[in-house]
Amino acid sequence: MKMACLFLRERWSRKNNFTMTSIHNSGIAEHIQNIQSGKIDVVAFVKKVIQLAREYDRKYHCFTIICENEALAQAKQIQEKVKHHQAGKLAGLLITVKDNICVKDVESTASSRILKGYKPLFDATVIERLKKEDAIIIGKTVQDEFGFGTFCVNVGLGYRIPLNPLDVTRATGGSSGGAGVITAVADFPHIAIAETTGGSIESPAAFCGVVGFSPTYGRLSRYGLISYADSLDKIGFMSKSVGDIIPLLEITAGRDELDGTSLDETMKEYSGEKSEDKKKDQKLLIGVIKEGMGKGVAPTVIKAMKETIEKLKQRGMVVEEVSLPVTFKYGIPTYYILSTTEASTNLARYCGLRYGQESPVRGKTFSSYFSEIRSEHFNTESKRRIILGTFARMAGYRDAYYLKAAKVRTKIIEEYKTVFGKYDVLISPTMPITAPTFSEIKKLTPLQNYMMDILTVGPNLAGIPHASIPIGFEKNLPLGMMAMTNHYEEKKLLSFLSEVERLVERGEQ
Amino acid sequence: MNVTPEVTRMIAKTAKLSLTDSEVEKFTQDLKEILSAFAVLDSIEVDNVKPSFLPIPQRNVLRDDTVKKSIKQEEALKFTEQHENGLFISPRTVE
Repeated sequence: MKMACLFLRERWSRKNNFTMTSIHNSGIAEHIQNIQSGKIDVVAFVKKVIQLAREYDRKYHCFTIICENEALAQAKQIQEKVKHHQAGKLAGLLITVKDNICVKDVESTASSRILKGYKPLFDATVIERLKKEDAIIIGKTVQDEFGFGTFCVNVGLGYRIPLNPLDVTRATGGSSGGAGVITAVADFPHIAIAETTGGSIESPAAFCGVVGFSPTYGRLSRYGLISYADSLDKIGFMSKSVGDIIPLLEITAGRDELDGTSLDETMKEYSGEKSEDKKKDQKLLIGVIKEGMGKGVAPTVIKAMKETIEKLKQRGMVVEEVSLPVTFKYGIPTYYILSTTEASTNLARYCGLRYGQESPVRGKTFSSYFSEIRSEHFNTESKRRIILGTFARMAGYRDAYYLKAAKVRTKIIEEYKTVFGKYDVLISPTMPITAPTFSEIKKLTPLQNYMMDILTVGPNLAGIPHASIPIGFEKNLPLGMMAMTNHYEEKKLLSFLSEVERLVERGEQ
Repeated sequence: MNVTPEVTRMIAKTAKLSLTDSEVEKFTQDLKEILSAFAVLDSIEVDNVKPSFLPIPQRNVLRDDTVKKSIKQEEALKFTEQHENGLFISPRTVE
């Protein structure tokens, strides 16, 4: 099989004469050092990046907004800090932000027309922490409206559907589709800040051929995230290389008094312990999920998985088959009942008052005005999920649907916990197929669409860390493998991913 | 559950959505298909299982009850034209 080299990443590294000190890093560390030491003119560099971003956007529709003025203002500040040797740990690193994460004074709409014009008065905590270390925000990336989609074809009314850079007739994956595109094509040091509820980071990572990483639920504060489903939403990252994620995780993770579900523990301990982790990797016990290698999964996807498994075995890892029957039989209904129930309450706030879309209120009644605004500006998928979620929590149905799903979720979490009692890492394909064409997607019913999430809803329901990593190509379309570890074991996951990256990119046996 | 257009209209009314006839027809069909597939949940026994409303056990988090700086009134009003005398204008709640 053709090796899953991240061709764009290699091109970028060569062009910039950076030596890749290890497979863990795509040159971001060197770039930051060059900024901090004053070797790069930050303002001129950002101007060039903005120009490139506009070109990518013209070709692939990846941005909802490119915030040139704000990025240049940040660049000027950093330039001054560099003169006084005060530049932050991420000085000059280019960041894009999924449209559902608030950036102060930059339009943030979750790619929904109902929020058009909304410019937050505050930064999300994750953004605040990144800015403090002088990362530069260059734009907001397009997504399925409020995160409601698997392919990023459910963007809001008036937004453009992003195109897969490997084949523009195909979808990018969703809901973080714009983030997947810019991560794949960016010819500059870049990390995408994305978000997952049921697979929204891993799906576009698999279809666009990049790394997508989601931490344990609560590891990163959700303050400033436009909610889809609070018990499932997690901010994470997309990058060209596993190692790029580590400094961002260290800086953004940790307790935030503005989010009661954020975890106490910080993630400061990564950088110094990589070599020790490499030794551990060779002894890892890996469980390959049986249900992810059978019916409904494309033969090409299974073939790529089997080849990767062989490489892991040859590397000294023990790989065994493991079954998650409850998760795979009940995961989809459990996820969709819980997520749409939460979404239907979260979206109740969009009523045409105080911010977002509105029309003259005088003379109208409460119900007619709210219904008018919501019906005009929500897209079809949002309406469908609001209806499903409202039904699942209505009197007479709540126990049979919402409460039942919450109980099944307990059984799913227990199933993962039992399996992690034996295995260090679980693996499966990320998506059952390669990136579909837009015409193929049009033929799917809503239920068939939802079923495409079969491999990714489990780790999201359980809130465990998980990530997609490229493992090959099939007819120029990338294939992704998903890896999962127990709660709080991001370190083990990143270490394993680095090993996979090394094996796949170098073709090591 | 027998999903009819009337059921869909009733749910939409509760959710403050005005649907067209074609939307009612489409969503009724979608809801039928989805709920039929989700009926698989009837086959799992959960009588003595506690629900998980979050994936990780949480404790109550309290903070000191101290006054903090908030946004200014003009900032709160700047996203809407529907305001008067420093207040938001809202639709009538009593018909």
